[in-house]
Amino acid sequence: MSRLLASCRVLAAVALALSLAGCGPREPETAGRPLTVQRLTEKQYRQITADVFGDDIRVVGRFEPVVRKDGLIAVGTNAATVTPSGFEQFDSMARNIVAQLFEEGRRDRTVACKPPAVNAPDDACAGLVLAKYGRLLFRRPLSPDELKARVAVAHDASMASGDFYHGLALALATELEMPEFLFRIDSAESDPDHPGNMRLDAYSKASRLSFLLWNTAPDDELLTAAEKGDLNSERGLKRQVDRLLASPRLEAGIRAFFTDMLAFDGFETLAKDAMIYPDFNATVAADAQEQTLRTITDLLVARQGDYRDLFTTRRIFMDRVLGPIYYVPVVPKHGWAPYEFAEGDPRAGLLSQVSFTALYAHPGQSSPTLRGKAVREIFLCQKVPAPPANVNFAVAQDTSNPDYKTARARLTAHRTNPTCAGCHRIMDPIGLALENFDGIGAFRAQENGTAIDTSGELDGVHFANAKDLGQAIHDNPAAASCLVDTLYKYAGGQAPAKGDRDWMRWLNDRFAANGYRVPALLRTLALSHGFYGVAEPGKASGISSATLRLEDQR
Amino acid sequence: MPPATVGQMRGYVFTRFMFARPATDLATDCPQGLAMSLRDSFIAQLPPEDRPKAEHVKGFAEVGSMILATDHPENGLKFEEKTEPPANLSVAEREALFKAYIQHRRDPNRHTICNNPADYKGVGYRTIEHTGMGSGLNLDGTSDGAATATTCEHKKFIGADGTPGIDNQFWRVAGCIAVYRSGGLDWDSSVRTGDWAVLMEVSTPKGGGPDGDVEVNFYSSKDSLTLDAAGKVPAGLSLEYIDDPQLIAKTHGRIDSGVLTTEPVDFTYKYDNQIVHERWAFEGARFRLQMLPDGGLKGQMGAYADADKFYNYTVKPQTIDGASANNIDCPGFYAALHTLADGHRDPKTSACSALSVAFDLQAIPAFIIHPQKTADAGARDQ
Repeated sequence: MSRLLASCRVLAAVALALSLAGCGPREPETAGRPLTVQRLTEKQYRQITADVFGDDIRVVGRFEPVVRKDGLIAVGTNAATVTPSGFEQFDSMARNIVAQLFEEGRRDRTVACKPPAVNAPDDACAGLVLAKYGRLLFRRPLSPDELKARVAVAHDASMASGDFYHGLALALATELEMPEFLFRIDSAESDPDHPGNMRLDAYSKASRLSFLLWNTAPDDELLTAAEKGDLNSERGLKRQVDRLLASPRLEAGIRAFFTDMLAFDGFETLAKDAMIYPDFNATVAADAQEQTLRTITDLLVARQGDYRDLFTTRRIFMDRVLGPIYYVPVVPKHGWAPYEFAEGDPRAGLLSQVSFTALYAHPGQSSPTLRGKAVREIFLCQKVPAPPANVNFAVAQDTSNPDYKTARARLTAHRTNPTCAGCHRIMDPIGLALENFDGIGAFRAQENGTAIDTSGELDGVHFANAKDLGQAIHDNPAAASCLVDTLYKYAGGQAPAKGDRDWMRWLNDRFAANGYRVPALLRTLALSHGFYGVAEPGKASGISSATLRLEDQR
Repeated sequence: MPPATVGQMRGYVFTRFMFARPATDLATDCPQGLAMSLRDSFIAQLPPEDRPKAEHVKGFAEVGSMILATDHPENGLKFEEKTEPPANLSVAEREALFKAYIQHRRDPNRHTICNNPADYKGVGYRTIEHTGMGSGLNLDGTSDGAATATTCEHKKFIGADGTPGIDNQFWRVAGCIAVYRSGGLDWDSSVRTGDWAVLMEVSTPKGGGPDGDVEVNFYSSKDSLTLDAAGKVPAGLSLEYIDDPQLIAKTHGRIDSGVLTTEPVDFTYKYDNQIVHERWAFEGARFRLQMLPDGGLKGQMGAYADADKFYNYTVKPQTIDGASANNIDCPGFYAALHTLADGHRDPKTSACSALSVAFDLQAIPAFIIHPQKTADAGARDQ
């Protein structure tokens, strides 16, 4: 009996392992993707600084903006450069950081070794310090030549200043200014498992993993695993991926991804007319983003839920800043509390949250068109063409016209222009479903005294209101495949290659097979060969799941 | 705006809680003019030839600084540095005038007369005597102000809408003081600066319709109000009340045709501003509040307040020297409070020690958070 039980346990363990490993159809071959060079985002710079030097180190400076490309900042970083003025900022930030590190009382924590004399160079001690921090900042060990050059900087500066620590601080600052720190630079090597092909080297793998799952540089353990070659073995890679996925820091990675996907950088320039929306301010804007990110991490990470449920969930987080806009009671005076909208409440899902309805609206009114466009592009990965340059928005934006009291009436009039009609037909019905939420996301039943009609249709599915729209998106296959596309682009800084259609289909299938759980999707991606495949230059070109779906339909 | 409902209770926060002030003119209310202030009475008792000098002395408003300069030299303030001598007065003359003025406000023991108002007589203090238009509620139930078992005989006002029997003896006391007439005593401005607020809960009417009997609870807010970009208190704030039995009042009420009226209730609220930190206690408070289309309420509270406490709350604490900011003649004000007291009749002496008073109120919907729920939620807070 005990033997039988033991056998069962083994079988169960194997089944669990197979399940966790994402057993199923074999991973298709990929064409690989070109190597990328991505500039660190501000968030990543700050997080790495905190990880390497401590949470108390202040990063003071202005970061040059990164242009959103192909829907993501992460893709934009692939084309981002550093201008001379931007470099000045990085230089200033680096000097400020090391100044804090070498402050009296902290210096001994920064510099583990003691020089024989503080007024002279000590290359050995400098080398230890610069190698230690250089490895964490460059996400790989410094080459002997690189280390020699940094030590030389410390040596010369120590000689010139007559101060060992001054010289060392300067050399450390240069590490924070070097491209190897400021840019995530992919590096490739021959793939012994696929002769003739290339793959990311172990340190690039470690970086890709860490930035994807934690939105920061690899920690010591991950770098050590890379150093030992563990990341090139299935077992070693799995161990590290599972460690990263099990860490509370996964939440930061999920937050960074959705912050990018939902284009929350738009809040930095979002303005509302205070006469029309006096309830809106910078705190509301910040908390609206936080609310959505809490909703997302709660569902996807804490409760390991189905990604598609983000469009229908009635569970949200609320604080007293947002309470008046949602018009709900909030018990804790400070901080957040879970809140669940009642069954009959008009709100459910991300689309009814202030972070979406306020961001995709005009300063003084809602915008069904902006909202519809955002849903199409962000959640369904369907590109909506830009409007013609000479389009006349007069009717669409005049909320005081007594003949067109609601947005639906105004847009109907606007669509009489055949040039506009095509695009508005795919955007407006979605956005009109959200018209119960004004320009900052507060509920309204009427506009200009006229009841708001929120009915519409999405890809053949009719809906009556925002909740139904959320359900329609939940049930739309494009929603899940769009997330896979977006995640892939985010993870690698570029779209999948045309030759990877089978591989993308496999990834989509795995996502579905795993109950549309995002951590499982991350795991599938992180353990796949395709994620690390490198294409020969000029051979790869982009595809998307939207392309795949179109091909499927043909 | 829909009701801010938690459970079966609709919540409100009062954004206006101000002494009721009828739209009557000075000539009608105070035919002899405004009540004399301490400064007025000081000037009046000067020799006629000195009065023009005093009239032109600048800096009487700085009497507080003057007192600090003379009484507390350790602060390093000097009289000369705090004031600008007018062209026709030397510094010495001016200092003498100020010292005389301070003496006018003090007893021989250097105590301000505002601290011991019962020991002095007011000079030229005036009150409202007519029975015409006033503002408030009928608290004693009589139409003529005749004495009852709990009230003393007093005059009544007529409401702006013709309602007879209005009780508001406090307005008689204060209605000839400039600052009360002008609305300059913006009593509830500190609501908007977040210092204090009164909360109210109203149950949904029994029977399910818009009208009916209701339970009404009053609280003092533990949380400060916040303002929107337009400087207004937004509807829908979540506000926790202070869990102190003294600051919780519960009564019954009724809604008829959109008007909420409550039964009398003893009601105390916590009042805070920069210099006053008191608990205002009212007896037999009645509320009459019209429900507005925007979800808010507008109306009045009428109640009785102890005369001595009234004095302590309104005049005594205003500056370091008492009432200097508003130039109120403390003895006159104090005496009027007692002379015109109409409530809290002592069955033995038949004397009254409380005054009827009315407040103009406005309220907007707010979610009232019960303290014990906060404790529960604390654990959930992330």
